[in-house]
Amino acid sequence: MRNKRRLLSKTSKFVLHALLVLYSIVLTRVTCSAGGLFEYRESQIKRRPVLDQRTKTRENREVYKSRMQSGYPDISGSPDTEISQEVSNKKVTSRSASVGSVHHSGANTQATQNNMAYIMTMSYRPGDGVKFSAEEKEYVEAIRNSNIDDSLQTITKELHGFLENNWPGWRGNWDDYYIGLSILANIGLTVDNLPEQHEIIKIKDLTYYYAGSVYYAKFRDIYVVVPPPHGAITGTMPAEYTNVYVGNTAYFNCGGAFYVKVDNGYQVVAPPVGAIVNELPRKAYCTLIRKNAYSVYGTAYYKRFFRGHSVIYKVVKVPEVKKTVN
Amino acid sequence: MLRKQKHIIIFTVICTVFLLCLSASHGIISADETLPAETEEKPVIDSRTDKLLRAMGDYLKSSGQFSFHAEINFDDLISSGHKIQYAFASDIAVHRPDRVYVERRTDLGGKRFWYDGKNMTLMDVTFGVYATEPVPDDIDAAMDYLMEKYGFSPPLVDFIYSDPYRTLIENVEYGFYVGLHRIRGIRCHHLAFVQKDIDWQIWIEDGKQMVPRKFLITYKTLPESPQFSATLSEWDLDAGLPDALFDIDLTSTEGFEKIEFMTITDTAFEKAGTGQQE
Repeated sequence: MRNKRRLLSKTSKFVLHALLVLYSIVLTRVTCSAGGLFEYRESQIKRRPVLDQRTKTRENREVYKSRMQSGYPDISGSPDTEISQEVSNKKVTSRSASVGSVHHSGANTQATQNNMAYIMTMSYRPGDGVKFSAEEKEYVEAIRNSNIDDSLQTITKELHGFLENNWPGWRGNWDDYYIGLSILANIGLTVDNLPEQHEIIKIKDLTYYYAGSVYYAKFRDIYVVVPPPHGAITGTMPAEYTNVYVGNTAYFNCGGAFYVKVDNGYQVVAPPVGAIVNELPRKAYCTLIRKNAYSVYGTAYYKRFFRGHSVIYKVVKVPEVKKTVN
Repeated sequence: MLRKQKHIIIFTVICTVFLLCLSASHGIISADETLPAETEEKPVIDSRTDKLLRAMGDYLKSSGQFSFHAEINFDDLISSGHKIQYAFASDIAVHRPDRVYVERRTDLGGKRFWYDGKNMTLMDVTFGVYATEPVPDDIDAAMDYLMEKYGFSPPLVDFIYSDPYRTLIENVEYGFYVGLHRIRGIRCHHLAFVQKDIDWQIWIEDGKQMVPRKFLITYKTLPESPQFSATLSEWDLDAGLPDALFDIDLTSTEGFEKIEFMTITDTAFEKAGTGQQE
């Protein structure tokens, strides 16, 4: 009898356990199929991957290229930055003007035309890796050949002079600076209006405007994208940077522009002699001076060294004599 | 009632035994603490492990010139904190006492290194640059000089030195035999060693040709404990290495830019120097 009771008790325990296991299996299945685990996995798969800067740059270039090639489609809802939208909007207006549709919503039609022409001539150069349609090429060539508008030529020359006086040699390499930071703006681009939120920075006689990691300077009644001016202090820095140390000073290398932390933000400084970087900015060019090869970017001269097995670049003093090799 | 008493007795006995054990162990520990600490400082390597490593070293030492191939993987910690693995293949030729040639084909570019008893030259084929420096006139002194002045050495330099056993064992604190394991189908003695900053393992071929078949270093004090791993093959300990392999005429480097080496002091200055600029 006692054994019987034990047996019964054991049987009931076993059945109870079996039921519990079965219940948990069913519950898991229901949860998964109801979107619990599976949905989570799905969301993990579908989540947009985080791209590194180089990949982003490539992606942006593709977007940029496709826009250029597809005749500047409507960019509303574009994920790009404020500046790129503004610049692209300008291009849309400009191109409309170029094909003779004469459909300008802005009051300053002449300025817009000039802007358009300027943007086209300044931005699109042969061999810079961006392909354009035959129509666009023809248009750019027409602008270059100065058969369209004399005032445009005057403005262009004036703007060239403005940039050259303040940033000597800017066209050689600096003009790709913002693209290198994945920002769709080239130095020399002009816009009618600044982004709503911008900082005003005064250095000597010039006033600069800083918004979305881009520096602008006023030229006539428009704004031109310029390189980061030495001495400028901003509240924020471009998101992409590498740390560089010279002595006890920490610098932030933002694609060839150097910043240091100051009390009220970050200050643009001259490239510090002695700074070592593993990679040069993309558009740095080679110069041979007294049989020594230098790489130049912005105002910085870099020289190559072996550090252990690796080739690195060190910022050196600006050599006295210059001779360019391609 | 009797059963209850029995339980109490058993419990008391267990407690007594436990307390006795505790006090005894404490006594032993106390006794150990009074022993001189010098025994801990001596490297502890079992005789079999030491014998095998020495045999491998002697085998390499006995060869006047040899060459081998290495497939190397190494971890690099990038600024985001991720551990990335790179790979390179290396061909190494040694002509004792004063010639070394190393060629590397790597994920990060191709490099050539050669030492001719007078000068050491490093060439980066990808960047099109080379640097050359006069160095001491035998392999051991030249490799020490490179490490001290420029902070680098050719890969697997431990096997290039004239006495590989002495070089490898120098800072070992502890070593033991792991077992007989296969590397690319070759049965090897697997040995492990512990040093202050690194742990390393070596697989030595089981047989007459006692050459290393694999070498693994774990940098245990660095973040994420990166590893360097080399699988060694194509050993030729009777290699008839031509002189031309080491005596490379620098005029053949036409088109390459000559650059300089940064010394360790330059590098230290850049990291935490005094702020003096060039």
